[in-house]
Amino acid sequence: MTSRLRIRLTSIGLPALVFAIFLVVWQVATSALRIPQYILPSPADLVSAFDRVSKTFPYDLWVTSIEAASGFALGSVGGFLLALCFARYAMVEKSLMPYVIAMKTVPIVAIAPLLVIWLGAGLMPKIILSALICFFPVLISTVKGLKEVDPDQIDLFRSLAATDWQLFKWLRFPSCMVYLFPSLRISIVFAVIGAIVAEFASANAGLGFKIMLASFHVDTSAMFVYIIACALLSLILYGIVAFAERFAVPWSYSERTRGDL
Amino acid sequence: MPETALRFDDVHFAYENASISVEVIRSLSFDVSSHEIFGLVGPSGCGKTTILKLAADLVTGSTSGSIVIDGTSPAQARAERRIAILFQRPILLPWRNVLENVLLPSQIADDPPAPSKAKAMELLDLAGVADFSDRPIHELSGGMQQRVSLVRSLMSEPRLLYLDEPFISLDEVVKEDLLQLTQRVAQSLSLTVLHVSHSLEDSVLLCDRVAVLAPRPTTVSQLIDISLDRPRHYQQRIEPEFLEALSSVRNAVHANGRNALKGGLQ
Repeated sequence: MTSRLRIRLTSIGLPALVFAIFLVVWQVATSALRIPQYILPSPADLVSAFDRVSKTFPYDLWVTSIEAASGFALGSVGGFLLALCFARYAMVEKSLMPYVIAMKTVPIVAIAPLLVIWLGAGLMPKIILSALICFFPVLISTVKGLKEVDPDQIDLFRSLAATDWQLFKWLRFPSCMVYLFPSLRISIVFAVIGAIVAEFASANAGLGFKIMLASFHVDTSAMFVYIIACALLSLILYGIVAFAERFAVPWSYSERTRGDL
Repeated sequence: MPETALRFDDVHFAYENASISVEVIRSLSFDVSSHEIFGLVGPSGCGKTTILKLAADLVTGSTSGSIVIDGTSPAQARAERRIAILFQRPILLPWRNVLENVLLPSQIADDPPAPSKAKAMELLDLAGVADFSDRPIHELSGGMQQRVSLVRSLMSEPRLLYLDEPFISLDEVVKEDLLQLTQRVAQSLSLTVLHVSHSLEDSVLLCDRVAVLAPRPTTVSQLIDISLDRPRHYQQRIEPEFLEALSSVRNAVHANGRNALKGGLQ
């Protein structure tokens, strides 16, 4: 067995073993201590709860995924475009940045009911809320990435008589990718949170809505199932962005991998 | 009489911001002849890189006096791509492979791709890194990266090559290789070279003449001819002629240091 394969097996196998032990301890503890199901259901209760909700589960998962992914796309693109504007036109940044920061201080989740009043109970308020949450990390990181270019690299381009557009296309834009992708990884997780919180305010489908519904019925097992589904959804979307990063910013990925070794 | 490629005439320069002005250069004058390798040596922080950046029109501040490159201003020489710079670090773009990095000047100048690629491969071959043309930058050693950087700087067919201590962070063996390569390239492409360094040995080995700079505000305190035969090799460092030239440069640098110390004590 090569050392690389052994490292990979260890990195997957050890956490899996810990998880298996955790499940066993959880199951034994809930049975031995006779913890009521509405306080803490056992893993076996979760399996039967999942079976119960399995008919509507795919649709709820789909709704929340669409809300989170659309909000992520909207917020990220919006944040990125405004960052381009800020980096290019200092006056625009000076004029708008105080308001952007002021908006950031507003607890975004608290405006969910307001969005429902304005936009109704459909997908739109969830998408907008997710977008608003994603917007700020992408905006701030991209502005930082576009501005914090190595001064020697700028001197190199200037010594070659590069135009502003060439400087942007071949230097600032690729440089900012290293800052952009970590913010996208954070944003995609925020997007799921945004969608779920918006569903708490008003919805007729989705994982957040079902968590709310289960809490009304004190169906703790179903709540656990939907909460775990939310976490898995975040994890999968995070993985997709991280995977995209490997192809979009391969130099950064290889630098990190080398650092790990 | 050889024509002058670069002339600094009574140049004064100070960095300025809203509240303070820091004088870096005072009454600096020197001429660099065409096809000459001219060195500027002085202690770290004396303003060597600022001189180089002034000659490349890459620095802004309060300037007086005149800087002339082949009869034109540095700004015009830069716009016409007659200047190339080899920086202290290789400054390669990590998102481009070796060939793509080398092709950057041609892309910026909007040169036709096919001949540019042929020229790039020819120069990479000259520098001994043609086999690595499709490799990502992070797979190359520091010395190889600096070779690629040198090749890139030659792509625009400059008349003047500025070297901003490009050998300083390299180990001895790699440095020797690059010094040889630079001499070879300068000769075969008839380049005029301005080399700034605080390494006296590198300067003596590479340059035809060396200007010893006084500490800040800097000016030329002494001009020294290095009349050693070319091509010069690292092994020459133990030969009496080399040691004599090195000693004269070192004495001039130390005399500056003593004068600065006296000035400070007074």
